[in-house]
Amino acid sequence: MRHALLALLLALAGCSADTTYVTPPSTAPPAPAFELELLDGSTLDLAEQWKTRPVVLVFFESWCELCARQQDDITALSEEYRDTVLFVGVGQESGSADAAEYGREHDIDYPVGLDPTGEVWRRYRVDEPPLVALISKGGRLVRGWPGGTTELDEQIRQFLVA
Amino acid sequence: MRAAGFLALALLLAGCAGDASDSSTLRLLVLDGNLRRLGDPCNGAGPFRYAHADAGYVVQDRDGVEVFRGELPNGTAEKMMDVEFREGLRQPTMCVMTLHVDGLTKPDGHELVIDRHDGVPIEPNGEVTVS
Repeated sequence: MRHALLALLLALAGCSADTTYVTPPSTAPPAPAFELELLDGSTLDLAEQWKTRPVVLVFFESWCELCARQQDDITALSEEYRDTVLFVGVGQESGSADAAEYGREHDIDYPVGLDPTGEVWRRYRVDEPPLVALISKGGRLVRGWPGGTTELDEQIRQFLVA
Repeated sequence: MRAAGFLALALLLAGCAGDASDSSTLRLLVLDGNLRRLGDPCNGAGPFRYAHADAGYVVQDRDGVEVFRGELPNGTAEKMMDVEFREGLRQPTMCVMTLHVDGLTKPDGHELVIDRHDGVPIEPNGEVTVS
């Protein structure tokens, strides 16, 4: 029994040792904290989330063609980093039905919510979707890409998870 | 019989020709100056985010009578300033949407209303500038 517990502890230690979070640059500003109402009606407190792991915010709209072009790669990365990085989709003017349809079309399995007042979009200075923002574990805004990025994987490895 | 056939054909052709000329193509120029790569798909940015794909629009005459109703398509980023930027670099652009409007032969004197915002005059050349 003791051996089994020890083995379990070692296994858990091994899991956490596999993940090394990158220390954000000292110049990185605090990410604006917010709560997001998700499409399923629940509420996600982002500040609580980035206490324990990095977060990738994906600002999108259901009608945005450039978002759709990049979405499948983002979805794949969200799967790849499922255990270490939280991806969150944030729409603004899209209706909940259209946002949900967009999620189904692109096999999005991460939390998606809407910011109907536009307050979160304003705080993250989203003029036009897509915009992808990286937030370190601990809540520092380390990078943001208006127009999205084709180098998200490299950027996650450089700024979030070594 | 043959005369009737010719008449039907003539009427059919006249109808087709009438349909073809009874429409206009408008260019909606959203001068938002947002940084994009030329040719990328786009929607209105910043204060012009209401001008996006799927947003409803109405073309109306000078008396406010509706001529056509439709939904905006995605636009394409076009050069906004006469400045040469390095190729592939994001630069200030305008978002240009192409609207095919049935039932409008001469756009002059009409205006475009997007999602209940104020109407914008349509120029004789079919351009509508939102700025």
